[in-house]
Amino acid sequence: MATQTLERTPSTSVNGSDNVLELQNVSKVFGGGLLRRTLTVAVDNVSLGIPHDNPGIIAVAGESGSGKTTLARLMLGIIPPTEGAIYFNGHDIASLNRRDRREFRREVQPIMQDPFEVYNPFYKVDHVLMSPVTNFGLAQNKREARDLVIESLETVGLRHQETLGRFPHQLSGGQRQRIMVARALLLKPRIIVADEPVSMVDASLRATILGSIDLLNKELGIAVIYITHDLTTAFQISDNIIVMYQGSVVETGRVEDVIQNPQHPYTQLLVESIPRPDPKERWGREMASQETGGDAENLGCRFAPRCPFVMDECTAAMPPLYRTGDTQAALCYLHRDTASGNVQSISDVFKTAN
Amino acid sequence: MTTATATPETTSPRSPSDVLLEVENLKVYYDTDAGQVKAVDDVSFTLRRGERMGLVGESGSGKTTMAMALMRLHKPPAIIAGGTVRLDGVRILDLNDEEMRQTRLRDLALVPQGAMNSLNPVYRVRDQIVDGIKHHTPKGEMPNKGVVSERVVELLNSVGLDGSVADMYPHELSGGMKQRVALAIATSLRPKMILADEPTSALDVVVQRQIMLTLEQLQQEMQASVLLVGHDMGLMAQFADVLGVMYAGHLVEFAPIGEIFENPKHPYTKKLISSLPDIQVKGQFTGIEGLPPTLVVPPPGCRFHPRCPVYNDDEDFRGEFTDLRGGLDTSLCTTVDPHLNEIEPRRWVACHLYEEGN
Repeated sequence: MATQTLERTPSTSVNGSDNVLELQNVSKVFGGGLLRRTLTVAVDNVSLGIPHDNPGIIAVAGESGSGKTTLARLMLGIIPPTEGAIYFNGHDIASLNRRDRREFRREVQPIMQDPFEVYNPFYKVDHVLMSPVTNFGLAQNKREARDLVIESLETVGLRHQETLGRFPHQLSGGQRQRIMVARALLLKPRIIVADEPVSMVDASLRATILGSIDLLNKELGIAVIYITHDLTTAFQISDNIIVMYQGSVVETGRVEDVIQNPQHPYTQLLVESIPRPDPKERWGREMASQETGGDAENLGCRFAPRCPFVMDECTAAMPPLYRTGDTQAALCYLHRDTASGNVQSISDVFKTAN
Repeated sequence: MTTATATPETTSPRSPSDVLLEVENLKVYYDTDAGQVKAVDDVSFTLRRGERMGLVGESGSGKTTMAMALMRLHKPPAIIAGGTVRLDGVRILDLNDEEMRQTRLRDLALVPQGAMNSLNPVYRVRDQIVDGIKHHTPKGEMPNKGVVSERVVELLNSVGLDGSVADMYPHELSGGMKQRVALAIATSLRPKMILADEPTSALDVVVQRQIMLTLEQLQQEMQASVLLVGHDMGLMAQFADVLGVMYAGHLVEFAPIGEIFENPKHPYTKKLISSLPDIQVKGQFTGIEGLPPTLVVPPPGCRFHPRCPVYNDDEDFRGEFTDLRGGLDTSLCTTVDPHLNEIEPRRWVACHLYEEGN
């Protein structure tokens, strides 16, 4: 992990680890039990380090079924990896002691995808905001707790008069989502894993929420893993990006490189399909190839069945991540002859955040 | 409250029959414990035959409420409190329930928000398509089984699906395929108008593009008009010919899509356009300050004035508005609800900057 260790001050190292969170060859396979005979590789061999200093915002982009949410859940310790290991400050999260686990729970905070599912319909929304304050002893008294909650609500653009004291069903999807952002803010964590935090809100609010996420990173130095299907917002707020397709990281690197000069045919298809806000640049008439289900027999590139450039070797074996530039890598044989070697850890091609 | 009485109709020399949908002063109100919510207040516009219109607005702006009211599928406590809606000359708000049922799908079809939940999980795709045809075809006009069966396959092919999908259940289909089935149902009786409420909101970009291109192809083939309701300006730019912008229950601007993007007139539209993120330039990511108002007690005068960059004399926003603002009596903004006026052919805007004598 050469590029990661550059300009790292020793003081930020904890237990000899430069990374707050580190994924080493992590895979997650679902199924294979009595009821589901087919195996689904939701996340395939991902290595990634999130450093203590200048962690930046990392976007994880992909369509549904790409494994991006599974990757988020692995990082949060909600599900264990099938293969490989995840380290928090150098400790395997599978075997943390009570104190470290509590620290992990506080320092790595989720903002979940469906803001309705995480609420208990019988509790007022105050509960979801007050419980972290109580559980982690963030306030001395009730008044202070309430002030903290109100402050975090205002950061995400909510009026406390219109949110506190209400039940979840009385709020809009956008409001519920912003309450989840506010909740994560309360704990001032090291890493926020935000799974589609703006998928249910309008353009103007989206800017507000993403603005506050950006602020968290730039002002408070919180690393943000921004899980999304929206390449435009990924481009706008993140420093680096990971593009996933059916469990594989197909392309990664500096966000400007990946979005403006995509090297993997799948990323190219994604970028072409963005509805650009310009009536003079309308979509091409040609239809992109239809979506296909994952083929368990396919040992090679997952995208091969849809790929316009498919070659014989594509279906025989999975290609490695070829380094196509200083800050870019693609999982595609098209770059075999021109690449400057292979990339082991995704974060090797990340641009260090400014 | 002063209201716009005219309908946004072109002054170009087209025959009146070019107009398919005329909405005049439509009012849809909700009666709630907190008071009356004017979710759609005095909205007027016209849509031409074969034209694709987009309707954008923030959540709570009334866009979905209006779309549902056009289908007369609005649910209590929503009531249509006034106005007229003419579809190909027929005043659909005056139809009785049975007549309205015959109008739906045959003349005016809906592509629902998220086909995931709109298909019945226990019926095969074939039965759901046939069901639609049966329910909206007058008694005695229903073709025989063989013809219907052929029609089902034809419909599935027209939306890019194999005929074998007819025998599948919804759970066997991907999100994109379900939305294609919804398109097949909506176009089964070749309606004059298709109303699509965020038809791709739950889909991925690649699939979204396929669905929107399919919808466009069907629409052109049938020469149907489309009203696409949504909040994604990118999607509107790709799909719509004309765009209506709603804010707090009002239609604040209506114009050809190119005009909206190049030369937006209403300060809200202007803000909306300038806050759009793209993949060309990084860091031009601004929102619109403040929150949309509650509609129980909307702000007096223009509902946008508390957030309006012109009213608030926002420095970043002076530029091209300076000349216009020179003649603006800003006390109007806080006291008089602006009319929706036609300032140029097919360009409608509700803002005191463009009021007569200003």
